[in-house]
Amino acid sequence: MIPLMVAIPLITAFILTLIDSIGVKGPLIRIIFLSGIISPWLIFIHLLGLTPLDQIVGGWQRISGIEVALDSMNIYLLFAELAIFSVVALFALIYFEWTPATERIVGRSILPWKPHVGPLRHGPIYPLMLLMHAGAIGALISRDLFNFFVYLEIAGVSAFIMVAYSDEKGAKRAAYRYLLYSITASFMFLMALGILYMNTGYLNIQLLQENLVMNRDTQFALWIIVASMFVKVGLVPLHLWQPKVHSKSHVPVAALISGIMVTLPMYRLILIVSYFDGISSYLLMIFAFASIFFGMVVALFEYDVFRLLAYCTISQMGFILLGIASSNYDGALDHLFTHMLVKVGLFLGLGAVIYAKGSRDIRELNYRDKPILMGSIILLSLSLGVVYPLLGSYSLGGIIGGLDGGTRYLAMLASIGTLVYYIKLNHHLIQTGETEARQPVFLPVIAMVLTLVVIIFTIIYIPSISLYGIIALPISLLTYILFCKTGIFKLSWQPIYDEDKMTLGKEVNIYTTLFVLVILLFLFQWF
Amino acid sequence: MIESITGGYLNTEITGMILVLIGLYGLMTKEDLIKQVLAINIISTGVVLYFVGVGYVANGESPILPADLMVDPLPSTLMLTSLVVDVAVTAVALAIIIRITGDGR
Repeated sequence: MIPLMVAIPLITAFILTLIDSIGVKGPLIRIIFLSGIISPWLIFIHLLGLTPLDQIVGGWQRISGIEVALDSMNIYLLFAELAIFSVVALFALIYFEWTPATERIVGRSILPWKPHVGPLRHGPIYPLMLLMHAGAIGALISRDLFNFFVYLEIAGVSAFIMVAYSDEKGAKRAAYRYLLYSITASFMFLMALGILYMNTGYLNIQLLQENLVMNRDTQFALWIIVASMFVKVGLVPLHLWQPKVHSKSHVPVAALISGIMVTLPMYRLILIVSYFDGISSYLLMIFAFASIFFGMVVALFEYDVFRLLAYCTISQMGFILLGIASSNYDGALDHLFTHMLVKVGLFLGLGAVIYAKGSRDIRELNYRDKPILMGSIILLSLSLGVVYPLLGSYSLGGIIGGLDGGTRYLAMLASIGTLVYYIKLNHHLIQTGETEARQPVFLPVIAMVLTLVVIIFTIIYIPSISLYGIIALPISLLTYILFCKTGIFKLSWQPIYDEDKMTLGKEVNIYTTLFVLVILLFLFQWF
Repeated sequence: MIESITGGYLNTEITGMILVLIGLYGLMTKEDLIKQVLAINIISTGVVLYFVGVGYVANGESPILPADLMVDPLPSTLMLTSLVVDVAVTAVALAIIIRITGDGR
């Protein structure tokens, strides 16, 4: 029953491509698209009462079949995935089918979108989104490493194409970069699977755990898997694809990449580190702090909304890696769940603001005339720090609470930094500016659905009160005021790595070299 | 002839790994985008060769009817899927490269 969740979007994507090619237009395509996105919910709700559930596809034995599971490790992530896709699909329907900013008609329309005549401008986006949906569900439920690779590639290839579909200048380059980095990592991952298979004869994660004898070979294979997941998650120093991909692609696509494409490898990393104990936490800790602080510092000085969110993703992934490194897997999974919902909510909410204005600079944007959207963006952005009683204080507070000594204070400092750049974002957005009435009314409404989900989970998981959770927000406010008064935000700095002066080929060379260096670091850690 | 040069150390797995390293070298040094896609293909071929080598059993029968000593069919089967991934990715990469001209930065 579980694999059906993957099968339905796959079949729908096929049907959609088929009927699109024979010239069917209009509402039928939208209805099929939405039904493909929504229908896995039915199976999910049906299976909810039966968890924990473990199945081998086709009823084979575990050693010869592919195992899929639905248990406490992935059920929340799967819920978040389904919620995100349902909301993003609705958002995308309006975003892509409303006439774009330049040719927009002044005034509100009664219909949620202006019906299109002729072929869909972004027709292929819908089947691609369904493919990504199928790949994401498959990667979350699969307990077989090769099967995971295949699903991740299904989701990945559709993500590359969706990024390339943007009309923004530089989108094709961003897509090429993303594709090349990601696929190099994939093949290294596959190579490592080969080493594991040679040593044990299995690729099922449960059987691997039972049969794996730790030696130099298998340990090296596990570290290659970790390094390739680093590329796909986008952790420092292998993060170079993230900011461009987010800032060049369409809003729904950027939301999906930040919410889904980054989550899948991170979830697999949690699974692998929790199953095998040959991975030292010391190195992971160093990489985690590098990501946290790099993402935080760059986001403090960033004025492009989506680049800010991209660096925030890098920093938050660092926090999750910190949870993994301190063996706090539950905390890591909780924060992964929070990050998925909150980040996609932020992307869609800010996307609605951007859509009205046509600019991505936070100094030119404002949400003053839309009070509910304003409230939801403030709530979501504070949810990524530790602010009692928001969702972040449960999940991120759990990760920080699991640390000890100096690392704990460093993590607290970083979470205050997170709040500071979100206060900066909201401070810029709250200032009054000219109001924009030319916007599809439904766009912000859809964006706020995820806020509702976050609020529900906030109420369910209200944490026990802690001193840090209460004082974090006042401290970050004071820090922000201090930064403003001393003029730190006015500093301009020259990045060491100047993206604009380098050819695309050269960038790929540098990135691959970094990737190889990280692998070599992992290889030589025993000497 | 090759055996006499390598002293018998060169088997299919090692050849696969060498191909992967050649591909990585290509990605690290070549600036031409088409050459980079070719490097990815070399890596993919190396991985396929490696897996086929993992499944190979010396003097084994072909795994069609159960015999005493068979070649492991699973790695080769997995590689069919990975080849499909490789083809898809190559096609997408080439399509993007065609459209990259005049795309700006």
